[in-house]
Amino acid sequence: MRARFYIAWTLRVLLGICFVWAAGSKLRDPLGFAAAVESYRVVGSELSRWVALGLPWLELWAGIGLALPWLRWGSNWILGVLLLGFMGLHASAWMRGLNVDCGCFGFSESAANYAFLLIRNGMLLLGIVVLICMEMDAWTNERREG
Amino acid sequence: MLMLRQCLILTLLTLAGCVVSLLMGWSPMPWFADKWVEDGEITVREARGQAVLWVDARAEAEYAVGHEPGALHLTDANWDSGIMELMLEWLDEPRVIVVYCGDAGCGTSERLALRLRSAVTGAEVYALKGGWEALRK
Repeated sequence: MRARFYIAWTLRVLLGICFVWAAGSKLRDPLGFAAAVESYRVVGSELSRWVALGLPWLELWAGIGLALPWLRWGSNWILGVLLLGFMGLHASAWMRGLNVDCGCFGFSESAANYAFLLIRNGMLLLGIVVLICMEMDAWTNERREG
Repeated sequence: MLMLRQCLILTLLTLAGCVVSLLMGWSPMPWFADKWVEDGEITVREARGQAVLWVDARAEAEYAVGHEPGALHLTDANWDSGIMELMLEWLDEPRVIVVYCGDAGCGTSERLALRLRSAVTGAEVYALKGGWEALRK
C-alpha cells in the first residue's frame, strides 16, 4: 500500500513537471508555437493561433492539477486525451512525410524525430493510464470499505 | 459527474489564463493575423505594399507550373547559378528580398532566407508567411 502511494506520487510529480515545463516553453514563445502547430497542416493559420493561445494554459493547469486532489481525476483524463491527440498528429505527420518542428517544448529549428516522439509520448501516456488505474482502484477500495 | 466538474474547472482556468496572456501582452490577439509574424517573416499584405524581389524556393516543377511574376527560382540545389542571377538583379535595383516556399509548413523559405542574409550583404531578406498558398489567395 505504501509502495503504491509513493509510485503514484512519483508519477504525478514527474508527469506534472513535464507538462508544466512544456507549457512554460510554449507560453514564452506563442508565435513559434503557432508556427509549429500550423506546420502539421491539420488546422489553418487562424485556428493555430487560438491553439497557441489556449493549449499551453490547459497543459499548465492539468500538469499542476495532477498534484491537486480536487483536480486530479480531470487532469488525468485531459492529459491522456491530449497525449493521444499528440501521438495521432505525429503519426499522421510521419505518414505524410512532413518535416515539421514538434512544437512539444516550444519552437525549435530542428525537424521532429517521429519515432522518438511516439515512444516518449507513449511512455507519458502509460504513466497517465497507470495513474487512472490507481485512482479507480483506490475508489473501489474506499467504496468497499465505506 | 466528478470528471465533468473537474474538466469544467480546468477549462475555466484555461480561459482565465488566456485572458491573462492577452491582457499582459504575452500573446498577440489571435484575431489579428498580422501580429503573429515572427522576426524575419513578412506577410503577403506587407510584401505586396512595396517593391520586392521575389525568390521562389519550391521545386523546379512547381515553379514551372506557376510562380509570382518576376520571381527568381532559387533552391539549395541550384544555389550557385541562382545566387548569381539574384545578385545581378538585386544590384541592378536593390529592394527587399522575399523568399517563399509551398505553404506555412514547408520551412524551406526560412532556411533559404537565412542563407541569403549572409550571402547578400546589406539586403533586407524575409521569408513569406504562408508561402505560395498565401500568395495565391
